[in-house]
Amino acid sequence: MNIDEKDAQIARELKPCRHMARLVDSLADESLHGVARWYVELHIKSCRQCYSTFVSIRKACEQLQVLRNKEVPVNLSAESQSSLASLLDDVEKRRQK
Amino acid sequence: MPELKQSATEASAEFLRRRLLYEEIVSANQGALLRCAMHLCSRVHSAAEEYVQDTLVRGYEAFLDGKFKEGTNARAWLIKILTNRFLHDRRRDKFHHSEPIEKLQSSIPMHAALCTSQQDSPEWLALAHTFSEPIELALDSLPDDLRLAVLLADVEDLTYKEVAGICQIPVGTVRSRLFRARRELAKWLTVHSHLYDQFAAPLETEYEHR
Repeated sequence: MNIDEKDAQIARELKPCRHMARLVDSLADESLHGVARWYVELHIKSCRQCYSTFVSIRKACEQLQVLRNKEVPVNLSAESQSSLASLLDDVEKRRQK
Repeated sequence: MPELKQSATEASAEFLRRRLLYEEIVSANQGALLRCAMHLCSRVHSAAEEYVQDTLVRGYEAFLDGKFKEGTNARAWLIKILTNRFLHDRRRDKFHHSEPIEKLQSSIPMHAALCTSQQDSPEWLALAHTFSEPIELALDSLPDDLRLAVLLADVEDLTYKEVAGICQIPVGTVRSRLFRARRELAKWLTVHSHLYDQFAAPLETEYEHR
């Protein structure tokens, strides 16, 4: 199966029921509460497509959280820091004139 | 004359006080700003640094104009300046039919190899797996509006209301963009699940499917 065929197949699988689409998304990002949450949980237990969508979105959300914790440089490079300081000085000088 | 000298000294002292306050805000939020810029610029470090520097200068001007309200979220305020600048540049580039980030990317040997090798070819897989998280490659595949929504809400952990304020769209539109973005990411990750074993493994959920 080439990548386009796989893409088409996955698009078919990740097609939740129309009225559930946003609710499934909210369940996956943990922002759904109360009766709505109970209703969606009940629905995905019996609907294969909504369940697949839920699992895939939950996985994507987990990957995004990995990205949140991924280490990036905390500060600008020394060169950028010093050029920033002089740019801020310029702003002050313009204002003081 | 002494009065003039005194008012000049007071003005400098006021600038110094504001500068120190601003520098405190900067040091607390520089990391988040850099991370956001790195994702917006598809991990081209030089471009991200340039955007952050530009944001901090513009931010300082706005700060001196009293546009930052103390007690509000400084990170969201700085990210708004950053994203406005980024989107402005992207629109300008589209108008001029050029793609500077992609061009910058291709000037880096690793990115160039990634861009030129055919997706799914063995060398593309090896490069992609070595240099980027799969989710980063998936994010690159999203259009700007969807990428921005998902970056702000899911990576920067801003509230939907803050994302709506930054993108200048209603909260309902944020929700809808997030749904579309996450679905696209999920699709991309499933299609390319062979990039990493972790994603290919079944996810244990609390919902047993009947």
